[in-house]
Amino acid sequence: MEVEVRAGYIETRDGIKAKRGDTITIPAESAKQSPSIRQALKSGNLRAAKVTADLPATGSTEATDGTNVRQLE
Amino acid sequence: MVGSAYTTKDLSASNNPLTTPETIEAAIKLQYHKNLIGRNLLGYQKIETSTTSTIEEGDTQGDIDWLSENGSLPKMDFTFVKGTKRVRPYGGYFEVTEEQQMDQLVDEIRVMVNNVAYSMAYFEDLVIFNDIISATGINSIDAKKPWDVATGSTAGDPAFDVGKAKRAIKVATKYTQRADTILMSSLTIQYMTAFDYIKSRLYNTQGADGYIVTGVVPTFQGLVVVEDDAIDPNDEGRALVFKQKDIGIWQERFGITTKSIPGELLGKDMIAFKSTAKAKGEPNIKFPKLGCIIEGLYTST
Repeated sequence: MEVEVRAGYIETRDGIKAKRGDTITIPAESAKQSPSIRQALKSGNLRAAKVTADLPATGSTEATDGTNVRQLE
Repeated sequence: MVGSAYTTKDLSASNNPLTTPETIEAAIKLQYHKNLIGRNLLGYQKIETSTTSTIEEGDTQGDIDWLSENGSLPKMDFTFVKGTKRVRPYGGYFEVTEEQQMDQLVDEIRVMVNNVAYSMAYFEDLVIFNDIISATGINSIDAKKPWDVATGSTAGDPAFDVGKAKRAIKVATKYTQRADTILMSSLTIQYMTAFDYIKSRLYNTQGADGYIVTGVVPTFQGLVVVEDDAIDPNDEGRALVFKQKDIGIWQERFGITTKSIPGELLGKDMIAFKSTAKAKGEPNIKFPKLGCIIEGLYTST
């Protein structure tokens, strides 16, 4: 999972080195996280990164032949 | 009227000067001040209200530069977000029985005094260190390998890890600040004494009384070593490297205050008096960038 670093600096056993404001990827499973990651998540020094929507906006669709979709249902 | 009026309080207090409420209150304060650790590592501010403002430090801005042609110097500053915090009272009490007072059981009373005084100091340490390790912005690193293994290929490397923590503080503060203290639990210190190079330093003291004799831990990589179990009460394997006094302040509404209430006022016939101790203060960790937690010191974590 992607998290935003709010700690001044964080360095983990598995090679992550990040500063405040960076976005890093960490294991979602607690057992696979390093101790400093677990503590930082607990204290709010790592926060879930804001996810950019990658799905197209949902809305009404229009049939390509120009017929009213509502009438087809 | 000649002399003072006879009261039950005078009678109960006359048994032994060491069991009078006043003496016990003084003893609580004396023992409490002897055991302060966390508070002495922070700055101090006396406050007049029960709510204080906090800041969450942002990035340091600006750099030192040469004086420009127009005679100006660059501005150095840091951003911050303001917050508020409530300062809460805390404390405890114990009761001295009439029997303890009349039979002059000073030893029993002394243990109760120490329990309250030590517990007050330890409670403050727990609050202070918990605030530091959970402060937003505190630096954090993992130990390369756990410190509870001192030999072989899986042995820990305290010197490397402490060096890394010191560097983390430098990086986070743009190389402007340096740590001066490391805080460890007694269990961590025990594990560290198993490393050959540390053991050698502890034993070889050129004739002076060292750790083996006094129990006083010498400095480690230029850092003052402070032993306090409140940094890791659950033995999770954690140490803290930080710059004392600057990392935050202890804000105190009022310091330790004691009060003795006679048992008869409490409706308790057999109680001579109840001694309470309370204080009101909270840590305010304003500059967590000046600290670095070392996590993962024990194999189980």
